[in-house]
Amino acid sequence: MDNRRSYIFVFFLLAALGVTGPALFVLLVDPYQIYHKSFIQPAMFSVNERYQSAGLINSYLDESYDAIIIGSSLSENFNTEQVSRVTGWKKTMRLTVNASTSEMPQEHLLVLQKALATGHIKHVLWEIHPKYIWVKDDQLDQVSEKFPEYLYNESVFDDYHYLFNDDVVKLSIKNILGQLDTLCENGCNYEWSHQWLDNFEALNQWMLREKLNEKNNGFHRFSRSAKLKAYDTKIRKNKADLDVNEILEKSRFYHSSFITERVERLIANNPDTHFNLYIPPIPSFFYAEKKNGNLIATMGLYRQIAKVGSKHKNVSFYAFNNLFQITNNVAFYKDEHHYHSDVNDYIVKRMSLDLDRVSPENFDQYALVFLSNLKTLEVQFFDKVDLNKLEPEIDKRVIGAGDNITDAEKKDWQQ
Amino acid sequence: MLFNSLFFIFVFLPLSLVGFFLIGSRGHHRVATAWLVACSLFFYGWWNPAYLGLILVSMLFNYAMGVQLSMRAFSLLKKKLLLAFAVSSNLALLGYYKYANFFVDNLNLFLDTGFTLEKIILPLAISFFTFQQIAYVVDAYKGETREYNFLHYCLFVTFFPQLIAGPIVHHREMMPQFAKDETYRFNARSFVFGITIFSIGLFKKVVLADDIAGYVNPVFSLAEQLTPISTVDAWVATLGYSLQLYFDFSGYADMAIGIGLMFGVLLPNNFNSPFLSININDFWRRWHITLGRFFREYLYIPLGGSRKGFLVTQLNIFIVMLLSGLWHGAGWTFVFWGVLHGLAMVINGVWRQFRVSACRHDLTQSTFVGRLLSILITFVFVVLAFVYFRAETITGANHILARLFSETIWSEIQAVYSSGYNNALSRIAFLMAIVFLIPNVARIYVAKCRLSDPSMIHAIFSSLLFACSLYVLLYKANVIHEFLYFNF
Repeated sequence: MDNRRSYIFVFFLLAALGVTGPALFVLLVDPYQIYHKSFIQPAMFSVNERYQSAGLINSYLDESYDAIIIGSSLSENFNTEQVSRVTGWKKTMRLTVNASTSEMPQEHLLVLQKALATGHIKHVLWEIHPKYIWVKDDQLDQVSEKFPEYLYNESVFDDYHYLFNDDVVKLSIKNILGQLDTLCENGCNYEWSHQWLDNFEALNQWMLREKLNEKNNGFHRFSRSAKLKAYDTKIRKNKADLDVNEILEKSRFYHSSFITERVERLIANNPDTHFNLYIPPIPSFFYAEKKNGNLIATMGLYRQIAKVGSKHKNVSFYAFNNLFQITNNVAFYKDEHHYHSDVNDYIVKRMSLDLDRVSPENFDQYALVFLSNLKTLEVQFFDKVDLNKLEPEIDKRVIGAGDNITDAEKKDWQQ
Repeated sequence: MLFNSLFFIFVFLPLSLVGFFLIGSRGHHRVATAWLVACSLFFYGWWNPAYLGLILVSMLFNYAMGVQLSMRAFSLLKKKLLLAFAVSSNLALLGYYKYANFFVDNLNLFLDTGFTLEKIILPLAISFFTFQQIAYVVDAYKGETREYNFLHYCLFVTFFPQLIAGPIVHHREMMPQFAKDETYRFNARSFVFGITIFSIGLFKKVVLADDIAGYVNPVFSLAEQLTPISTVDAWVATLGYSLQLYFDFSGYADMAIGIGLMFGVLLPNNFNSPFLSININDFWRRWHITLGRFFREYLYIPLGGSRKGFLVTQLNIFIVMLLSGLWHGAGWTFVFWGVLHGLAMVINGVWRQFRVSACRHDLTQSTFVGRLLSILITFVFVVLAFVYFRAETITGANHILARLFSETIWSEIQAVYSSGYNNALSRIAFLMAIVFLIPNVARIYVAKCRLSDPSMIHAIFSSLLFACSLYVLLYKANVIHEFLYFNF
């Protein structure tokens, strides 16, 4: 009988060790630094921001930080040191979520909520991507399958998704062996999301990669691409149908529950934090190829946010999509969304000067200028663009209507 | 509920075991039986509670028939009529749920009619519990078994280790075990064997079968669309599916036996290294043993068996195999698979007859090489026939089989050789080594489980297999794969 008892004891003991051992190993190594900073190997950070941001908030977002940047891959090129210097904030952490999904707004919100819960954040730079119109009223809390929601809630009971996870076990083994795939520039034979870097400040600053390949980078290719020509054809066709008055009028009736139920509530619940919401300078042709219905929703969304801004003292709302020197010039873009990192620097400077602010009072004027530009837009092609000499190019390439850069701004820009 | 689900392993099985022994060890055998029936019905209803009514009505009907057939002093004619009514009612139920759509579709196809019938969802395990109950009423008619307690009858049909995909048990081999006092007391030796065999079965299913399925399924999907596939992929699909089915089904059979032993109940063996069969008859004595037994006892022998001459015997065998194919699924691929096996058995019968009568061979004697050749021929036939078993259409199966010996075979083999490694082929080689070199669970454990305790090395070995399986279930918890035989 004792033999059988020993048998049962050994069986279940070994099985329990076999099952919990890998999870304990993950807890110890913790490649995404969810529970603690890396102490076995030098800290490495994953470009997979959906996971890594949770680790950054838990293990690195301490009282030395007072600001965060929330947004998509468009916000990845913000230089956090430069942002802090220009804005006067103490220290800024970038918590972007790239590889956007249709649930990107909800994911931004969860990352932001988690960061705010630390109690250190006084300033938020929050990109309001046009895709925010995609959030349906019955999907306010939905996130994509890629997003590890369990790392962003308060419950520890669902952390088993992280601890009991084959991928994380494998990463932990690689981590402890010092074999995590480091960031590669060209010719990687592994997936982008598997790359790791030893400096989270530079994490996902994709512009660094583009600069390394200056002669044939994304900007160079895009300005010559068939895709852009297709945009041009579409835009020519769409311009005739674009009805500025209809868009302006109908946008007044747009309502996003996500903005009222989630964004505004979060702002109201954090009165000591200042939220700098901004519309990124996505190229004009991105908007120009949209149908009227889409533009009505987009302008309706922006209008709604402008109202939120006027209701809450802790909100400033900036629209950088009327900077036509930039948005009408394909030379600044490597595709239909992503702009040069100099543009990131530039809009931060404008924000610090409190330019481009939009409120309910000036919204119609802003929208009229924006839509009128789309109505007269011509996609321009440039044979060669020297992105390192961006600044002098700006003045030469003013296309369409737009606000003029003041002397003070120019001076600031040239610094 | 699946044996390979975490809920089953961590919640359902422990609770049902603890409840059964807590109640049973205090002498409340009827309550313990009721507990086990309740657990089994919960287990069945987990899939779709709506079909609980169906299995309950089926049990009530067959129990009533069984009682009538075994109690009343009816005339032989009346008993025969009652039996015919009972059996045909069961077949009608099975026919409606399993074959009605198939029948109507083919009627419309061949007679150009326009009958419409909504898609009927096949209730889980209906083929198994219907056959088990047909066997019961026939045995009751013969006076070989009787049951006057409905609760016991329910346990016989629903006992969850064997409910979903067999083994198809006889009332007379199950219920005497539940009549013993010792069954209701925790038996450490039986439990030890139970967890060991269960762990091996779980490993076979979760780690081996589901893994190779990842290489097999895409090729069959492409074949159905008649997309060109390489010869290597065709071989991967052909061999891989046979191995997947082997480990899936033998894994299930092991788990069923293991769970049975945890309850102190020995279920009949359903699987005995079928790929080591020396001929197709031998294969059917080793693959799904209890189904073969059912067909032999309740179809082949009533048809006349081997008592009516060589030709009728071969015809009977062919009919049994044809119906066996149809039992596995309502589709022409299954029918064709049954026909292939029927023909193979007839050919084997003729060959054996020829060897005995014309060559005066002693069939009990064979050389090592002869046996090896027999095993190889049987294996190749079974594997090729399984392509029809797996494919959704005969065209899809033909598409794969046609690629097995294509003109590119040598260049593809050279490419595989020069690349040095092929994930799918190396897995297939590993699985084949297990199939052909390692003795099966029945030989290692089941035969010994009433005689001696397994050594500590088995505890270490089986707990590692258990941990590996749980690792896959817990750490790679994306999809839990159903057992293939659940579809039949």
